[in-house]
This record gives sequence, structure tokens and C-alpha cells, in this order.
Amino acid sequence: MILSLNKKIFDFTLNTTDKIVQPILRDKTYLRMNSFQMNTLLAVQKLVEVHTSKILKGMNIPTEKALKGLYQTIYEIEFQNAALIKKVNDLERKLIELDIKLTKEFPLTPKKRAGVIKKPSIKSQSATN
Amino acid sequence: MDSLYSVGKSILSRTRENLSRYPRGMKNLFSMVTNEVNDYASTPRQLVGKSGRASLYRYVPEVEATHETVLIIPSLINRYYILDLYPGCSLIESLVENGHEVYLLEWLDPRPQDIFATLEDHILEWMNWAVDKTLEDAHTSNIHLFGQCMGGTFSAIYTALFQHKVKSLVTLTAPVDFRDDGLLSTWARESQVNMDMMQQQWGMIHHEFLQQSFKILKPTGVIRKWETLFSNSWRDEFVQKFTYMEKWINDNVSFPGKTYSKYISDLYRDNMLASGTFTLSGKQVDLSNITCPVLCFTANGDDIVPPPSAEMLVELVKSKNVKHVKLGGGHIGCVVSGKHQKILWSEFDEWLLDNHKGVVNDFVTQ
Repeated sequence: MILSLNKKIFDFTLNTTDKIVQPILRDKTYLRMNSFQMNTLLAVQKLVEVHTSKILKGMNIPTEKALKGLYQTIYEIEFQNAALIKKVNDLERKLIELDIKLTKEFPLTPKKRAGVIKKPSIKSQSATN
Repeated sequence: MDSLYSVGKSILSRTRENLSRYPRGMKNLFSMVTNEVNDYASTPRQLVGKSGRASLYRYVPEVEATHETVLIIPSLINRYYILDLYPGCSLIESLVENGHEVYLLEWLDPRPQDIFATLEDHILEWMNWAVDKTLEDAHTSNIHLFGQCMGGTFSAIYTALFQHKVKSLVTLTAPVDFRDDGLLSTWARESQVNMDMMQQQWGMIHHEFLQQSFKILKPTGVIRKWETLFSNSWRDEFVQKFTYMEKWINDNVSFPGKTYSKYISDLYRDNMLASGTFTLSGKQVDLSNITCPVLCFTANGDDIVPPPSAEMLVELVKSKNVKHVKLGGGHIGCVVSGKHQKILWSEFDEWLLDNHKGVVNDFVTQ
């Protein structure tokens, strides 16, 4: 009984808290204040980065901007590479298709297809000797 | 006198019951703290290929896969293994056991260069690659595309653009209409945070930031969660599920800044997907282009993607075969809760079998 009463008080407290907090989380003033705080934080971060970059440049250490530039190059190269691989695969596929077409239009004998070079017969060999 | 005796007896028996639960609960809590969770996502799988941030896996069926080919697109900010939590609590395992050929696109942790990755890269490059690779590997001309949460939104966008590759579209709690009154949508609409500056400064929207946002949705949620654990600690199955869930909840993926910026501004703030004005690399994404069969799952208690936001897909597509299934539970509860997940599994399997046989249902709402 004590336990269930405790549970009821606990649930009531949490439900009441939810009822109070939820409208605050949707409140326009709260959201405006929140956005202002976030934008200020971002601005401060930017300012710190500018000053840090100056110090790093002076010490000949790559700055965050320089690193981002490198990452961008890696990102672009990766996509170029993927596009090239795709093109090579397409060309390979086309080559195979062409080969199939060719063999259909100009059917070769099994020996020719296997690339077997015809040996001169014993008769012709003895004639030349 | 009799009633006083029975009240006393019931108090005594409940006290005895509670006392007997106490050591079991303590043992479970102790093992939860000391044991590490290692056997999550244990359905056997093989790597098919990798491209950028995407890895494609094929689940190895115990019996030869005889039915349909399904490609699963999980959410971008959570790990995929909520769909394969542990043996007996896994959507993927149930699909494999039912003889379907299951493929999964796993979003890998963003690499430093991924701060420049766009929404276009995710959908038109990596997702498109995964679909093509699945078609090639499964020797088929079209597949069933299943997307969970944000993965569902991606799947709907993809289907609108590449209809011919999709046999049917299945979405699970996927937001489509962002004009809902959910807290996340309200924040995105009303907040005046400078998204460009955020993207420039952070590059990556770190998972800690996203996780905190989800926690603030219901500030008392954390207290409720621990209270529920303590009052159910004597139940082995409950503690086991709780342990796996905790592992999953605390294992998030960061969001590439550029992708986040477009996702929030175009979809949440301007609601472009539902209004038909959303574009990807200049291509207009019109959901009314979708004519393939569509199965839409929503969760009644979902406060991350409120049901009206996900249901809108059913109204926007032009498919003749559309089914809408309302599940119980919340955004995650509908996938992991024993009662609700059984409905999800059976409905999904039934849908795949129906489409395998070629049965076409008219508009059905359950």
C-alpha cells in the first residue's frame, strides 16, 4: 500500500512537471532566447577561431581552415574517382557486349576462338625439307 | 473481521513477493552494470560492397531465400541495429527466417571529408549505388525498399525519382509532412538559429548535440526510464531488453552539416516535400510520381514523428495499392516492444508475400 501510494505521488509529480515544462518548450520567447544564445555561442566560436588561426599561422601550423580545404579536396577527389570507376566499368561492359555481337555476326571455328595457331602439316614440312 | 484478515493476508503476501523479487532484481542490475553487451546485431551477414559513407550488407538466409528482395535504409542519425537488436527481437532476423533476401545499407561514421557531404550525395549517390548493387547481386530488376524514420523519408524521395527500380515502398514512422505540431517541428520552424553559421563552424552536427535535443523533448523521460527499470528489475527479459536499448540509445551517428542544413531548412522549415517543391540536384521530387505499392507504418504514441506527419505519404502517392498500418507504442517502442513488433513483422511479411503472389489490395486502413 505504501509502495503504491509512493508510485502515485511519483507519477503525479512527473505528470505535473511535464504539464508545466511542455508549454515552456514551445513558448516563442523561450525559443527566441534559445536561438539568441546559440547564435552568440557560434559567433564567439568564430571569433576564437579567427584569433587561433592567427597564432597558428605565426607558428607555421596548419589552421582549421587549411585543414577544411584539404578535406574538401579529398571529398571532391573521392567523387571524381567514383565517377571514373563507373565510366571504366561501363566501357568494360560495352566492350563485352561488342565482343558478343562480333562473335554472333562473324562466328569463328572453335580452334580460332581459342586462339590456336594452325601448325603446318607433316606433309608440307617434309616438302620444304 | 474477515475482511481485515484478508487485507492483512494480501499485504503479507505482497510483501513476501516483493522481498523475493529484491535479490533477483539486484542480481539483474549488477549483471547489467558489469556485463558488456556484445551480441547485438547478431544476424549473420556478408559485406557486398562499400561506397563513400555507405556499406551494403546481405543477410545470409538459413534456408535458401525464395521470396522477395528487400533493401533496408535505416535512419541517418541512429545505428541500424534497432532493427536487429538481439536474437528474438529483430525485424531483420524475422524477415530472413521467413525466406526473404534481405540487404541493408549501413551509414558509416562520417569521415572528416563528409562535412561537405550533401543530401544529394546521400540519396543520389550512395543510396542509388546501394540499390544498383542490390539489383546486381540479387539478379533482379526491382526491389522492395524499406526505410525507417529518416531512412523512410529518403526512400520515399528515392522512389519518386527512380520508380522503375522499386517494386514496393515500405516506410516505418517516416516523416513526410513537417507541418505537424510535434516539438521537433515546432523547434525547427520557430527557432532562429543561423544554420549556415552552424554548418560553417561545426562542419559536423555532433551526435551529442542531437541526443540532447531528443532528451529535452521529454525532460522527465530520464527519471521515468530509471524508475521503470528499478520497478521491473526482477524481470530478466525486461532488464535484457533495457540493456540492449541503452547500448543503442547511446550509440549515435553524427550528421554531416551540409545535409543537416538542407534537411532542416527545406523539409522542416519550408515543408517542401509535402508541397511538391523539393528539389535534389535540380530534379523535382514529386511524391505523386509514386505509383508502386506503398505500405506505411505509423506509431500511435510517436512524439518524434507524430502519426499525421507520416500518414501524409498515403495521401500524396498515386499508387492504387496503398496500405496504412497503425502500430501501438512510440517511435522506437513499435520496433522493439514485444506486442507491437509482432504486428510489424507479420504485416511486413504478409505484404511481401502478397506482392510476391501479385495480390493487389485496394486502399486499406487498419
